[in-house]
Amino acid sequence: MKDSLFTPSWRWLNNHFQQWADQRTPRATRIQLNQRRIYIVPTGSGFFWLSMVLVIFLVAVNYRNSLAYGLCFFMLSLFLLSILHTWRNLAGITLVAKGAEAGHAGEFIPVSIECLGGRCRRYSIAIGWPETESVLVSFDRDTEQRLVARAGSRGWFRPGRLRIESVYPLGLCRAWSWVRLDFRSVVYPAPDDRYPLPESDIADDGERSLTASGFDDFAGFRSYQQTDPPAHVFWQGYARTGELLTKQFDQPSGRELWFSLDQVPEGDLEQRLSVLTAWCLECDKQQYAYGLVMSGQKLAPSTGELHLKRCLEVLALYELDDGMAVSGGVNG
Amino acid sequence: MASPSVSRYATLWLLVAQVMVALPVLEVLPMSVLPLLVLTVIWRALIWFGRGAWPSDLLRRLLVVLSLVLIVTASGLPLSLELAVTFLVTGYALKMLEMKTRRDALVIAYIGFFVVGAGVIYSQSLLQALYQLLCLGVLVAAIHGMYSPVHSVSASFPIKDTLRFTGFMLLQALPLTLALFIFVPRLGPLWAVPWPEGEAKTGLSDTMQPGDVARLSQSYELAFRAQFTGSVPPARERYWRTLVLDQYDGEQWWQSDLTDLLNQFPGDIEDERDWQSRSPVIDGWWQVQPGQYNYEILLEPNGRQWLPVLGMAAASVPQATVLRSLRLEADKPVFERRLYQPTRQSVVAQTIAMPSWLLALNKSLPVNGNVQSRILAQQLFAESGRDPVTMGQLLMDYFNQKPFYYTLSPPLMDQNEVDQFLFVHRRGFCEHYASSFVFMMRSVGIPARIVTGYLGGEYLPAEKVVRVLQRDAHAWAEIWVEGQGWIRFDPTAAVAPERIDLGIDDMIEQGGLLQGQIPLAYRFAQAGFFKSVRQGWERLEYRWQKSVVQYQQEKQQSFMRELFGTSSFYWQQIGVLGALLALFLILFGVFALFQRPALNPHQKLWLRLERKLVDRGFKRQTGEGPKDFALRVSAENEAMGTQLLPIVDLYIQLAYSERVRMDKPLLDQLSKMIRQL
Repeated sequence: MKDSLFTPSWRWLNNHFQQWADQRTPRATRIQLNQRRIYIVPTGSGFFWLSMVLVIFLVAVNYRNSLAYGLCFFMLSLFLLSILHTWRNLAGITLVAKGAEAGHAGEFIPVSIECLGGRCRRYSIAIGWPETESVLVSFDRDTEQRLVARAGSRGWFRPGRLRIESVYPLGLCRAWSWVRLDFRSVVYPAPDDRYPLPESDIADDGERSLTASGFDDFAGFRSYQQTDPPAHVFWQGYARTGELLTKQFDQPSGRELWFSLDQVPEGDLEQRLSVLTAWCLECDKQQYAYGLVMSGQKLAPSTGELHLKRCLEVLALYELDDGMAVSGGVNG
Repeated sequence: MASPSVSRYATLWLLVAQVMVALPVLEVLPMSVLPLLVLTVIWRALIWFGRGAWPSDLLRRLLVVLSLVLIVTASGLPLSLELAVTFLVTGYALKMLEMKTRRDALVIAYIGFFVVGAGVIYSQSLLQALYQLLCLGVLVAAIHGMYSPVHSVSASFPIKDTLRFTGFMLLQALPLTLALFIFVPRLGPLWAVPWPEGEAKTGLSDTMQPGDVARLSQSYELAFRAQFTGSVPPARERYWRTLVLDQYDGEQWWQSDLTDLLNQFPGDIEDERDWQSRSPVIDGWWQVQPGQYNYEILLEPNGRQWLPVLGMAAASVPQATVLRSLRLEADKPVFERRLYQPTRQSVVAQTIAMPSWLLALNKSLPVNGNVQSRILAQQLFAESGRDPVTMGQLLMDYFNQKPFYYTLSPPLMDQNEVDQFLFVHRRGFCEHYASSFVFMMRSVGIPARIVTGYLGGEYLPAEKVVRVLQRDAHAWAEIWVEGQGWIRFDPTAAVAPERIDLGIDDMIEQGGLLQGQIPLAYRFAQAGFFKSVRQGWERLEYRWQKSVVQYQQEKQQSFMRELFGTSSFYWQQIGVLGALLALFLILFGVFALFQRPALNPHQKLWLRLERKLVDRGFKRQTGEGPKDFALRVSAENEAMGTQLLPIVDLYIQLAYSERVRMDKPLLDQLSKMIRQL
């Protein structure tokens, strides 16, 4: 938001500062804000305050007025103290990454962070990623705070630096910290529904995959199980009888879809993965059984939430260096 | 980025601050602006209570124009301190009417600080200082209110929080302020500034009505400094002659000037050389001899033309004139500090030539009035054998033996004031004694006149500097004795000798003035309690003025010299400031070191459990999970294990199970189990 104001040299400086700051403070799931992490500089009004101190100092000098000297020193003291107070307001705060939900690349992903204030009371602390709106966090009770972060590209979810800042109590100084919390969640490729589901295809291993047109045939009811999708629950029956029933559909053994990268007519790897993602989602919506054949990995056709998740994960992590993500390390 | 809006709570503080900071400067504001200010305060208060509407853009602009017109017509355009203060206070008021965002509110609060700054220029009394500190507290509270979370604190008016914070802030800031105040080097004025009207040019005046000098004695403003080389006269001999008041109309005394004299004595005075001379050597008026003291004077700007001199002026200094009344007058009013070195010579008293017109001038009195005094003077003159010096001595004895009091706030005396003073009130300041003395002398035909100037001054031995404040102002008398010249009589010495010996400051401190004669004290004379409170306050105020208000360049330097025992204290002073900074950083470090990690309740309990187990000889290995740890303990000590395993299970539940996380009863149970272990 302020980027337009930054001159290139300033941006260069800023980047170097960020790199330096990142080196000092590695990623972790639990981060306590301490003197290594908290930075503090005067705000605009802080600088204005200092210039007021200067003006009053000049008045004191020229009028040889002791009380004006006193006022000037008092304001200077307030400024110095507010450095301490602002810093103390952040110091000792512990942030714990409680986890993030899965989502698609480019989406906002809800993230749970536990904000622990410790023994001190905390006031007016804002927290947020640079690309999202900062929210004021309440530390009155130890609470979990839900934020959203924009997911960048598919793979392991690695939100950038989380900014936690405060100008409390007098707005003269801004104390802030860049925190890189380690989250474990997967970012699926962004779905790309340019292409319809493949009409009919023969998978690599020779199994037949039939046309996926038309709706499944209703085959009857069975008693409800917890894993059944809500869409298949026979709610009308529940209203009448009080018994939960699940509608069952015929899934003839041949009506399975196998997806692989080659089925996508064109595009680079990321685009193809996005198309596959859209297909998986579509199949899940339509309750088709679908399988995935990637190099080295093969998921047998199936349905259900778990299966979808597994497929999307495979797509998300396809040809990514897994180790980097798990170790939670070097760059973000 | 838009500035957040400002809360009603912070607005309330700003409204309170608006009224508070304006009160001390209210009297310097032009009368015409006051209704506007009151109107805006009421308007803003109504908006605050939800009963008024915000002024429209047009109306706001009209208000700005109106107030500008009011200010300029009332105080005129040339920049004065009053104009600046008026602008600040009006700006505060008008800005309040368009305050919507935090940025606006900050601007207002900052104006408030400037108004406080203006207020202390007008008065530096202890009371004022305490009041302004209160104002600062309110302003700090207002700013704190702007940055306080609105929603998180239970009440929407977290007054208790604010008061606690402000109190802490003041308590922490004051020691720091004090340290800075003591050690930050003072500078001399960098450029000339407009002084407050009226008060700025305190100092002697060229007319004197009893009561004038007493008013001066409240002013701690520096009059001048005298730097001596060689010997320094003792306090009782430091009569800084400044004005000679030889004209009297029955009510007030003033100085002669050439036009007066030419009117009064046409034909007697041939030209101005009879009255004034710019020459460093004066022939015919008097002879000079080598004097005792070598000194130069640094006069503070006072907008007046007269130059104080120790004793009688023997010759002129550059850009000044010496007058026949033995005083110096500058060519132009002194608006910048002026350094001059009076001649080292002194007048040989016997050689002073007094033409008849000058003698007549110093004998003149109104024909009527003050009959009793005239009669008393005749009696004493007869008693003295018509000898002027004996007569003076008799008058001094009279003041000394009758119950005369020396007081800074004499009662009002209007008609026949000499009579009233001598026979009714008998309370007065130096000018009462001097003027009645001169009156009685003149009434029996002895040439006499009032001299005003300063007496004493504070001596700083290290620099051989005498600092003379306006409050050292004094008035005494001179009588003409043929063959001996002008002889100084200080009637005050007969009443309050300590004024002469100690100087006015020490006299007050040692209680000389407090023994029933001090200003308000004697109004409350009957009420002992009020008297003692008043005296205590007077003493406190005096200490305040002396130690804080007067803490300027010289005071600081001599204090540093005293503190460090060396004349080159510069590095020590810098060292102390450095140490202050270091102390501040250490404080910072202490905060940093004592940071405990913030923990959840169950984590705290776990740590307690671990500590307890360490005491029993079981230490959890790094990387060992709670469950593994418990199993290992129970393998080594089964009894302990049976107790420990349920605790660990409960802990794991509390830490990881979504359902019971942070469940208060379970936490209590865990705590109890750990205690019983």
